[in-house]
Amino acid sequence: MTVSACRAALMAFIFLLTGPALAQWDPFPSPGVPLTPDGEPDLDGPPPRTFDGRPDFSGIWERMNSERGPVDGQLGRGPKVEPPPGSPPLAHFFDIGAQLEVPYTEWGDRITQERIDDAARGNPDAYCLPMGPMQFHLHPQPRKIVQTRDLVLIVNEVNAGLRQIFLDGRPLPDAGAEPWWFGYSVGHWEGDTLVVESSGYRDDVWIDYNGSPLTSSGTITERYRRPTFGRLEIDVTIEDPEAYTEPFTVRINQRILLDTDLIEFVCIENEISSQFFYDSAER
Amino acid sequence: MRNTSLRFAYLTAVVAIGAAPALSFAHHSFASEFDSEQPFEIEGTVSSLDWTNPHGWLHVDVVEEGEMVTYDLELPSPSTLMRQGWRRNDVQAGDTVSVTGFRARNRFHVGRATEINRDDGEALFRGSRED
Repeated sequence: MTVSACRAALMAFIFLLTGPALAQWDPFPSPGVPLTPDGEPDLDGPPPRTFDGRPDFSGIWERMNSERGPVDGQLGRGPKVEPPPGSPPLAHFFDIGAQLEVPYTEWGDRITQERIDDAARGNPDAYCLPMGPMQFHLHPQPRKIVQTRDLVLIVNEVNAGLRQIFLDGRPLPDAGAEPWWFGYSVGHWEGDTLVVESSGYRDDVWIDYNGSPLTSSGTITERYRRPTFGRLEIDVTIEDPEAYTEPFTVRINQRILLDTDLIEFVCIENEISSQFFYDSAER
Repeated sequence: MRNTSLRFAYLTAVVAIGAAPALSFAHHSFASEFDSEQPFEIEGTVSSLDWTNPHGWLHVDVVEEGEMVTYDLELPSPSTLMRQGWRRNDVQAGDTVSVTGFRARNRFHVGRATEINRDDGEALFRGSRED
């Protein structure tokens, strides 16, 4: 029996044990997984490559930036956590500044604090509208990357958020482009790093749960690397003179999820929570 | 027997979710809807489960001061529950449950469930992901 067949048999056995818990696609072996001599997935193995030799980022990915210290899981700007050794500050779903002093402008600082004080009721996600690009990267629900030569798609499970990154050489649109929730993204390769530049955002994008803003003046540069089979690193530089006095860079770490797939998530299906949001006049 | 054990496990998964309620709030903030100063504890009969996005809702009939009232209890999304072992049919209408959680800021009988146990009180722990 081949190693792949052994894995398939093992998953079938696990399915039989846990069948009632599996209510989506049955587990199916991810292709091209490097294996250790014991036949286990070698997540520290080399990243896969495309036919033309580029690192292939395709796969299901789960965020790793899940801890930020004593205020984890809460709104607010708490004490800073030291970045891991040798790493840029890690962004956090709730607070992009969990590990650095975000250089807010006066307006950026004020609107962020107002949103925190308002319990983030205005977060677009709370109404099933698209969340900002950093929230998509850091959301606990996974995302699927589909990479072709000329186009990278990031299919976010949450809100079925679909992002397109064009690698076909087209330039970013000029400043008069229709502002979009997802902005416009183009990418190019610098060695094994995919550099993605984005602009054309709306004025009401949130880049963390606290409500740190991104405006139509904002640009984002992401540098994607896959240092091992199991890891994806995205260094994100945010530049927005309306909201931040200078550019700043944070890192997002993702881990590969094997033998699984996205679960349908149609947010507007039964969005009733917002009708129970507190009335700020009653506070 | 296996189904019974699994259902206990599923129910106690809610306990695991409740252990870190804020982490489960990726769709809207806890504070926007619920009041951490208003915990509740009820015992009642499941009338229905809405297996819906962005949140599941468990509806529980409770007798309070001689009157039947229905609590509407918010849960994580089905995708989150499924990754923690739930399935849409694992909680049935007619099940007797005890629930603890926090009330909504503006509705007394709406809340966030942080712990659900069946009436025989058996406590089976099931580990969970962080979210």
